[in-house]
Amino acid sequence: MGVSMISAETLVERAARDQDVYAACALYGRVAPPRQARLEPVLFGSRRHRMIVAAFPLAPRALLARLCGDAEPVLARRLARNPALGADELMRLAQGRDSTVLARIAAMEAAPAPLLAVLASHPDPAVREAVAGHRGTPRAQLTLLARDASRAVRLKLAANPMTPDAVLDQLWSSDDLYLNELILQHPQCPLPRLRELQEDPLLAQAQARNHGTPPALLETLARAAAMAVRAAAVRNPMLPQPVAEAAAGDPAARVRRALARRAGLGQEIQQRLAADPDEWVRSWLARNRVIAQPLLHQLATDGAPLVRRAVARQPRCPQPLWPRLAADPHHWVRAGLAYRPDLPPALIEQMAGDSEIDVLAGLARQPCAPPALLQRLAAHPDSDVRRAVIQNPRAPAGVLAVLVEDDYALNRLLLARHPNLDPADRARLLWDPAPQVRFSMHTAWPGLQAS
Amino acid sequence: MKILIAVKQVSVLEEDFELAADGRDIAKDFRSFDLNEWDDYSLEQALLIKEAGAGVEVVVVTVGDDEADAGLRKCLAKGADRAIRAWDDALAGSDPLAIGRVLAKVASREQPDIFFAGVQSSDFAFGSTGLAAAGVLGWPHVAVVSRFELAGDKAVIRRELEGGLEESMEVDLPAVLTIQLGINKPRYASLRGIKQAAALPIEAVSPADLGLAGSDLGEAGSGSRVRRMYLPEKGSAAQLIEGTPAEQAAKLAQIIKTFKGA
Repeated sequence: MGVSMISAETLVERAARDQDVYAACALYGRVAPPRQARLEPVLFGSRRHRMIVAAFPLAPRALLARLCGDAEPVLARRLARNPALGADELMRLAQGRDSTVLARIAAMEAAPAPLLAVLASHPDPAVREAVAGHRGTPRAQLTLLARDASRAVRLKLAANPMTPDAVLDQLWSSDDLYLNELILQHPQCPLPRLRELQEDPLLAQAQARNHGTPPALLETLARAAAMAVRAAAVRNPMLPQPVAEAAAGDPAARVRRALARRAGLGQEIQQRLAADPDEWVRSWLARNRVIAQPLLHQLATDGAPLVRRAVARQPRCPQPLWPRLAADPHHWVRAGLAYRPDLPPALIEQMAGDSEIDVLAGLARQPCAPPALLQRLAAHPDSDVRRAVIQNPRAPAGVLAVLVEDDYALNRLLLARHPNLDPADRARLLWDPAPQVRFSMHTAWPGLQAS
Repeated sequence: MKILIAVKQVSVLEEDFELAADGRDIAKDFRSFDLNEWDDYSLEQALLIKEAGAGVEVVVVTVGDDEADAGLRKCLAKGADRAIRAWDDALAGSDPLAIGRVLAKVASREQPDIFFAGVQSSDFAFGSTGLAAAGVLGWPHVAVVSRFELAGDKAVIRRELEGGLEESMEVDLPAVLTIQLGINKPRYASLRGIKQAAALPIEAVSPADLGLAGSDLGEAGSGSRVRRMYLPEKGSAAQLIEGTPAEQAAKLAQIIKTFKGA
């Protein structure tokens, strides 16, 4: 059958004939009502298929809406976890449901505020817990939940980024360390709480992480006895730079690693960190966007492959270093270079003889990779290498044609959406044995509304 | 050489399920089916042997209704030469002993040099079907094989024991070996293989064809039967670690310290 002959009618009839619930799901929202009716026996005709549709997160919303009205309990439980449902469907689904379903609905991102407001006073704490953690819960209900008898509800409230500072202040407890930790790391944490130096290391660490903590207090935390607190303070961009840079002499490698990741490091500190005995410190420095070019030359000869790989991945890595890194004895370093988006054709050619899968997968993604290399890699026995060819936006149709027969379904799934795939090859994927490939193809098949 | 591989199309349980009306299984509406994971490794081991030497025939066998054909076709698509499905409604309710009896009859008929089975099935996890077949056959058998080499009319194998120990041994062939995950890297079925397998015949045999009587089959021929399936009540044996991430980490650390006696 010619590609142009594959019409909506053909697709619908085949989905109906094969009882292909995934193809039917994909087609349902893209065809006219009479053809939708032809698909309905496939989608709703058996309990098994209704269960599949209810749980399928890529099912069209209109299709799921059909199931929401009279869903049996087990179907409702599946629907209540399906992220494809919108506010209207969730509202309908919530009517007369048990607390298991309501708790799931309240946890859905699309749960509407009026419904959340009602559920905030539900007798089951599991439902209130979901409401307390929802970003869309109205402020009045968040305030109400601050006095909830359930600790789990109060913890969810303290972790909700939309909880206002007044509610967080109300939640503060004299004897709940972990609740207070959530409050101290909250972006809306009341300033008086952040101004007060916490003695417990867990609380001090939360305070040190918070960008709202006053710089003067961060300075104190950067000198705390607990290593985790000092590291958190050094990671905090609000810590004054001179104080942070003093951490270059910190005895704990974890603190120096945090420093090596900071923006705005001075030359002298960079030099110090480049000579740090801990290879992770040097590696983080090599990946830092502010690193000076001479230091990249120095770290390109580092004894630790981890550090040399970080140099290879550094966006500002000087081009003269690339040939050396391309010939590095450690394949992980060469792979770091092979994945650079700016690799020139000459270097791709130089590295094309590599036998390591990670290196070849990097080369296969290169937009400048020559077709002959891509042709060879498309036939590589390792599925990761072949997938990398599919992920190359400039892979030509002739190379992609080979991959239509790829053994690995995930590869064919990715291939289905490649813009360079020949229409005739794309059509072959319509009848792929893997349901996820068929679904993807039927979802994207052109011209259905018009046919 | 002939290699026989016992495979099973297992139930894959979905969330939010219901039990069947008789309370002895999961309702069918809540199950999907796939080839048992262990069987992918058994089949791969057989295919590796086939590819390493000439004249090796790989035969897969299963005990199941026509839904099991999909699993057999997957094996054919990967490179098995023949597929056999043994079934009769009288086999419903068979435990590993009764299933092993059927497999042993097929093995007696096929006379393989090697009989592979998975260590266990992922749905019921009895871990005994392959060994039950070996018992009926009276053949040497080794469980939980993690490495395999052919050495003439013997197999040199390594098997997993508890506590990270491994045991090396030789076994005379024919023998029944149950294969452990990780012994190799199973291949995917090629699209061409899938298409070809769809047209290949699957030999259907009944217990009567194999010379088995009604008393050998189903619950009558089993040493055990499922009386009831149910969700266990939450008890004190299971402890759900709740709280914030830091709180959970602290509780977990405390539990580990307690168990270590620190």
